[in-house]
Amino acid sequence: MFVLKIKSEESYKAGEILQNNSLFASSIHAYYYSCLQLMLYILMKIFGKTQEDIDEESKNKSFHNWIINIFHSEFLKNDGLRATRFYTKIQKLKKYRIDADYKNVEISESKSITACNITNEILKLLQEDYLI
Amino acid sequence: MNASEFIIRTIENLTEENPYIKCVYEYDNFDLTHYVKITPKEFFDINGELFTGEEGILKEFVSRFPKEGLLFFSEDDEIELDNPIYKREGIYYQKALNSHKNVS
Repeated sequence: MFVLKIKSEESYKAGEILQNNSLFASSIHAYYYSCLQLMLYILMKIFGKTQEDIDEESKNKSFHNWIINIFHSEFLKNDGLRATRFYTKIQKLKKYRIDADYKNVEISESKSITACNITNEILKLLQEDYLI
Repeated sequence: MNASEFIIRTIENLTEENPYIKCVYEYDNFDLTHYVKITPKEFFDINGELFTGEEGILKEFVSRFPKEGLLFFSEDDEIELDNPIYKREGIYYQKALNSHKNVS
């Protein structure tokens, strides 16, 4: 049973609820993790990696860059443009998440809406390539 | 060559090949990610997303530095760089900026 796909859907819904309640920084956090959880789901369900594999391979690395770079390489096998689009979008959303979580900066509604749009594009790229 | 040297060499090449652009570079040590802001936004495609040559740069970067990240972005992306470590303008950047100001 892979609960990560359900967690991804729940994080996306949480992002919408938080955005609708003007909790913009937290909404970006939830949107980013909805992407990360779907990527983890694909790693396990489609690529067949176990939790132990993931822990071992990502050890002593930036976990986020590690998983993003795996997907960039996988997208590259089929379509370089899709690989570049995926990579740029997820890096941008990651930067928004860092600003939202850790930086002393206000997060506007427009940034939350942009994060939602980027999330939709990332999820679509993943769903199209992995038929999930 | 480490990742920062790779980024600086890339910026030098980009600003020589495209003399009307400016690049500002910051490295986030916490996230091991390199951020490069490129202006003007017209350097990117119509969606403001990618620029010509970005695909090859990212492919080489990810292959050489698999633990790190890289993002090219423009002024419409609502991302501020607090501590840039390197800046470089193409030789026609100021001229292009002034003529753009005069037109608008």
